[in-house]
Amino acid sequence: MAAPESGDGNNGAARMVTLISSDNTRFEVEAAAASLSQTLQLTILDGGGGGGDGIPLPNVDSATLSKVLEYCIKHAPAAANGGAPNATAVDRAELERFDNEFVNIDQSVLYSLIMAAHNLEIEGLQSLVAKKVADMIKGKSPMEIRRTLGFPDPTPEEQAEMNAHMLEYGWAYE
Amino acid sequence: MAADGSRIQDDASTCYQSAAAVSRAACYLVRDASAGAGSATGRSRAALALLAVPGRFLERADAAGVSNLGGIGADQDDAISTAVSAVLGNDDLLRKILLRVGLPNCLVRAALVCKRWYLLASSPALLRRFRDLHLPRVLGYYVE
Repeated sequence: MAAPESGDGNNGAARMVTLISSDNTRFEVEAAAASLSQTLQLTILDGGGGGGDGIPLPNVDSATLSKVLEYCIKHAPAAANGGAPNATAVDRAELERFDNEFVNIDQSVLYSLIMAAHNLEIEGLQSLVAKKVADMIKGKSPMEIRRTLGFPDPTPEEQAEMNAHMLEYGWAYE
Repeated sequence: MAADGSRIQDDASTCYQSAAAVSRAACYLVRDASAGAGSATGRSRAALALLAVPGRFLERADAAGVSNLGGIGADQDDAISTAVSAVLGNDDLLRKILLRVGLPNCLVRAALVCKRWYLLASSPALLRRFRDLHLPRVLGYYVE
């Protein structure tokens, strides 16, 4: 939880950028945090997002963006350190705890997050949310997966074929 | 290529020590490797045969697959179903998810969900990355 302000002194004290969500809400964040997004990083390096104009993000709504930024702000100091050298075990444990809690969310939010992380190219967040969905799939039979993810039920014909298949390769369906 | 192939074959033989059911999953993982080395063993051929069946079966199941996700629990929010189909309908994102299911047998089960999942889960590139991410390990033993 070390305050990041002190470290950023050399490069224009904690430069801020403004992001504008699809529903026109403005978010002001440190450039360092926003730069976790590969997409935004390029714009920010070009000097965009400062002052009055913000960076419009037409694909991300405000609820999702605030969640994304929560992640970025938390992870920015660690990323600035190149991930490891100075990070203590306590810091890493804290981040891990944060990550676990972070993905403990509604399915609809989770899916918007995946989309946003993909569009903004935030590597860490992408792995985090993909892992969460993978955990929902893990240990389930194909039918359970279909149900969990809301696939339509198979037709009786498909079901019959599935049953026949199950006799032979039942282990995969258990 | 030859050296790489033999390394993979070594991985394969490690996998073959696993219990009957799970070894099928392990074979599945080395499928592309053995094919690439041009010397698929009998067992990985068996695994190929195993996989050919769900492949054919799922061709039909696919009609009801992700693209038709509109039907997600009629009682649920429309927004959710749109979000779900946007995510699961995107090959890149689905690959990232499949990569992280952890165990080979979970990947095989996921592959049986529908044809599109099967094609993605069995693509050589994904299996290679899956192996890199989850190193091969002994899942069990035969006791004879």
